[in-house]
Formats: sequence, structure tokens, C-alpha cells
Amino acid sequence: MNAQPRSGRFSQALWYLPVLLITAFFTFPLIWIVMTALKPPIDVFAYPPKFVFSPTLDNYRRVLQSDYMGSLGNSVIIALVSAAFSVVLGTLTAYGFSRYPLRGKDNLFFWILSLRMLPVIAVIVPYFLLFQRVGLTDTVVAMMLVYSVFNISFTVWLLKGFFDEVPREMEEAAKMDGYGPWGVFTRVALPLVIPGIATAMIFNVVQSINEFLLAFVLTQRKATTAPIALLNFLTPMGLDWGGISAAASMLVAPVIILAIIVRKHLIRGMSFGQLE
Amino acid sequence: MTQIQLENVRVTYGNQDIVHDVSFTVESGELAVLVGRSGSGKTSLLRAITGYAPVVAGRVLIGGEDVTRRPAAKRDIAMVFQNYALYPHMTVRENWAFPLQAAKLPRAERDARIARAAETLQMRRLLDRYPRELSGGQQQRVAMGRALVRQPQIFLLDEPLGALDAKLRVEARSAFKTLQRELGTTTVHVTHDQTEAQALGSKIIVLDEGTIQQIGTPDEIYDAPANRFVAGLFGSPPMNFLDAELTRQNGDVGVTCGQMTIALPPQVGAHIFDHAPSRQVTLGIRPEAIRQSPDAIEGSAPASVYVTEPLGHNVIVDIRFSDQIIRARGDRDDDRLANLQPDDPVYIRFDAAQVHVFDRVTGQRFG
Repeated sequence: MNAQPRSGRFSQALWYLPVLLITAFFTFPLIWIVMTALKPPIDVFAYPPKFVFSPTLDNYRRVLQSDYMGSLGNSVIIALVSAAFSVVLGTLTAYGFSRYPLRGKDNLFFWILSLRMLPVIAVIVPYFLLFQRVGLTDTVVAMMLVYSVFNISFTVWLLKGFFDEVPREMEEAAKMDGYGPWGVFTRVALPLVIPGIATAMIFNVVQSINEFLLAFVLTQRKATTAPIALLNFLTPMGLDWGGISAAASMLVAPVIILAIIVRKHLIRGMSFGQLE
Repeated sequence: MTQIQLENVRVTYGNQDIVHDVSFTVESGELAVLVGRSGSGKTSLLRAITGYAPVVAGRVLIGGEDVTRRPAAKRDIAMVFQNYALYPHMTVRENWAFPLQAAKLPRAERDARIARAAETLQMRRLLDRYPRELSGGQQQRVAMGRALVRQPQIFLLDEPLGALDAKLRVEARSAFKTLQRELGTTTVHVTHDQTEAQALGSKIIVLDEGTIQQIGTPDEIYDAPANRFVAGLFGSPPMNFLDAELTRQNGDVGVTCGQMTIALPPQVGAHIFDHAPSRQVTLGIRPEAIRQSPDAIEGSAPASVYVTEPLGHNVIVDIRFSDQIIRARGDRDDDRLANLQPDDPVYIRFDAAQVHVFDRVTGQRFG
């Protein structure tokens, strides 16, 4: 039983080949960025590209001492707060949409989703004027609010699907077991959609951390986010490839760390149909 | 006292009437079975008792109290759902503790009840498993356990055995019947399986198209079905129906069907003859009330064997009789019938005491 036939093991190994190729294809840019960040300036432009070189931390040292760190801090805080806020509000809203009868529910739901489909350029000027009026231009709070608008709509849409999958009988059972609506929500429905919440959290953080256009217009100095700050590596003397790579790799890091933390749930999120 | 009473209950979804004007009583400690085909409204009726179905008219009383507008949580009902509705993120122990926590029971009492249920349902070694790690039969027991630990006034079961395989179903059925008897909890059990209904219920409530067709003991339902629907639902194979004609000769009433005339018992016959709106009726005869013999005997008519289905100690014989196929149950111990082959001639006779006469239009049974 234990010893697999050799041909079986061989064909199994063969299955890994496409997996490895695809993984390599998608991780290559990341690897390239980290490699460039570790290269001395002379090796950055070497042709053909060097895969063996003596690594240096000079680029990281330079970035750490620059203004970029403040912007990175802004980005991380904006992304995390906005994502968390969106998940809390989005989860409650999605549950309401999934479980309670509501007049004009479908239209309302589509309207919320359509906020996400809006081209960013269409709302930049209104946002700018709005924030100017209330004195929120160039603030971290403004960016959190703006990103939440986009994130909440996505979260509601995603989590409604997850809540819809929770069998109604399960909630009826909990009600009969003596729980009120809040108890049913927190003790039965919510634990079952954790994979969905983890997925929403990741997507929201990625969306906020990558966003450029809104941040470019709505921030000037204090609330500048990392993607905007990356522009500072574009100097009159040319592009600082080492610095920009070091900075970019630091921007990717929080997302990767978060993804690793919730990895288990992300995988479960994909196999959610097997709840029963 | 935890009698359940439904008075003229009507359940409507959207503008569709699912249950019309249903009334029945389940006595304290009784095990009642609601039986009907899918879509007959039996689950809606069960949900009316829990409070999950919109009761638009009528009243639901539990223990004499009107609970029609009372939320499910306050009715002291435990239900076993068709898909079990176990909480997948909790172990068996946590699933069972869940209602007890809501009831704010002290920990010691909680543990004691869980231990007792585990004992009863033979789940002791599985208490720390998650539902997904259990087999269908075990999941079914977890669902039962979650209802048991509550010690509710009423048990409601919605096809709890439906997902089990045939052998397990029979075992679970008798285990459940014993358990219900020991606990003495008023129980309503929903099923589409007439065998299950017969085996379990002390009272059977037959439902079709949202109305009650008959309420009675298993024997009453079987021996004196109220109408053609009930007659056709119970028994396997079910009752045979034949077009027949009421006849009267010298005051004796009989039913004639093809070349056979069955003399009805005098009083019954006279009653039917006086009440039937038409001479054209439907004759119903259960497979076991059809006597077969290789030779012509008094009152028998010729027929031929179509196919046979041996079923252990007896055999189902499909017989071609007056242009129809009827199904008879024969005894395999009878050597003369044991080796019947297709197209063999056979003589059949209907047991007059077990002949049912139905109105051909309304399906109501006479007598």
C-alpha cells in the first residue's frame, strides 16, 4: 500500500512542473526587486544581468534614513485602519443584506457595488473640493475615509456571498437553542465566514497600499503615502534603481506578512462550499 | 402538560397557500408522525410549530398556551433538522453545550447532561470531534443529542433519518422510538416514508396539498384509509385500484370487476349502495388480500402471471387481470405458487372483508 508505483510518483512529479513554472513567473518581479535592492550601484546596470554579486545593505540604509519611512508609516496605518473599518462595517452590512428582508434590496446592493466600479478619476475633483471645504486635505484621516468607500463596497459584496452560504437552518437552530439575533450573528454566522473576512482584509490592504491616483491628488506633504514617496527616487540625476527597489520591497513586506498570518483562512476561503 | 394543538392553521408564503386550515392535537408524551409527499406542506406545518413559518390564520397552542406570536427561542422546542444544521466550527461537545450555555446552566449540570447524552447515544469517544470528522449516522446522533441535552418540552424532527442508508435508518428508527418512549417527550416527526410513519407513530397525520387527509393510528390508516390518496400512500407495494361497478342481485350488493363479482358484507354493501352517487366506483384491494390459486375455486377469476419479485419469505406477483396489472403478495411456502413463471395462468380471488370501495370522482372511501 505504501510503496507507490514508480510511474505514479513520476507523473505526480510532473504535475509540479507547471505549478513551479507559474509560481516562478509570478514571483520573479519580487525576486528581481529584492535582488536589485541588494546590488551595489555598479551591478544594477550590468548586462547581461548578474545573478551572483556581493550583496550590500547600502540601499536599505539610504532608504531608512530618508523621508520615505514616514510615508511608508502613513501607508501602513491608512491601509490597516481602512481595511479594519471596512471589514467591521462591511460584515454587518453584508449580513443584513443576506438575512433581512429589505425593500429595494437588489438595487441598493448594486448601488453599493457600483461604488467600486467607479473610475477613480471621476471622483477625484469632488473629493478634493469636499476635503478642502472641511479642512481634511493632506490628512491621514481623509485617506482612510476615501479608501474605506472603495473597500466597504468590495467587502459587502464579497461577504454577502459568504453569508449566503451559511445554511439558514443553522441560524434557526441557534435561535431555537436560545440565542437572540446578536448571539446568532457572533456565535454562529461570524465564525463561519472568517475565511471571507480574512480574504476581504487582504484585498483591502493590498488595494489601499497600492493606490496611487487618489493619494497623488489628495495628499501633499504630511499624509503622503509610499507609492507617492517612491517618486522621490526619480531625481534630476536619474532614477535611483537601488533605492527604489529597496523602498518597494519594504512596501510589499506588510502585505506578505499579513497574507502569511491569515494564509490558513485564505485557503479555507476557497473551499468554503464544503462547509457541511 | 405539553400537548400541542393546532387550530385552523394557515401558512402562506408570498401569495401561495402552503397549509390551509389544518387542525390537530398531539397529546402530551405522544409520538405523532406527519407524513406526506414532498411539497405537501408537512415541513411548513412543523415550522409553524417552531414559529419560523408565517401563520396567517389560526392558532398554535403548546401546553394550552397560545404561542402563535411567540418567538422560537421562547417556545422550549428542540428540533432536529433534515440536514442536521450542526455548527461546523464546534466539536460535538461544544455543539451540545451551546444551548445549555444560552440557558445559563451551571457548568456541572452542563457536563452531567452532556455525559448522559453521550452515554445514551454512544458518542462518548467522539465528543471532541468536529462534525465534518463524523459519518452521516454519527452526525445524525449529534443532532439528536443537541435536542436531548436541552430536555425540552417538545421534540420536532424533520426527516431526521432521510439521509441515512436503509439499514442504518431501520436501526436509528427503533432506537429513536425506544428513546422517545423512555423520555416521554411530546414529539412530532416529519417523514415522506410511509414505512417509517407506520413503524414510529402512535398517531399518524397524513397530509397532502396542505390539508389533512386523515389522522389515525397506524392500523386505522392502513385498514380504513379515508380516501384513495391515503390508501395509495401506505403499504408496499401500495393498494391496487381497479375500475368496478356496484351491482345488486336479490338485495345482495356486490362489486363487479371484469369477470369477478365480490359480494360485500350485507350491511356495508347496503350502506355503500345507498350512498354512492354513481354505480361506477373504484375498487381498492391490498396485495395481501388477493388470494391466488392454480385452479379455479369459488368466486375466483382467471388471470395470468406477468412478472414475479421474490422477497425473502414472500413474493410479489404482478398479475394481468382484466386488462390491468395488479400486484399481489404471495406466500413462498405455498409450493403451488412458489414456482410461478411469467404467463402462467392463475386464478385470483379478492378477500371480500378487505375490499375497499372508493368514489371514482372524489376518491373518498365508502363505508
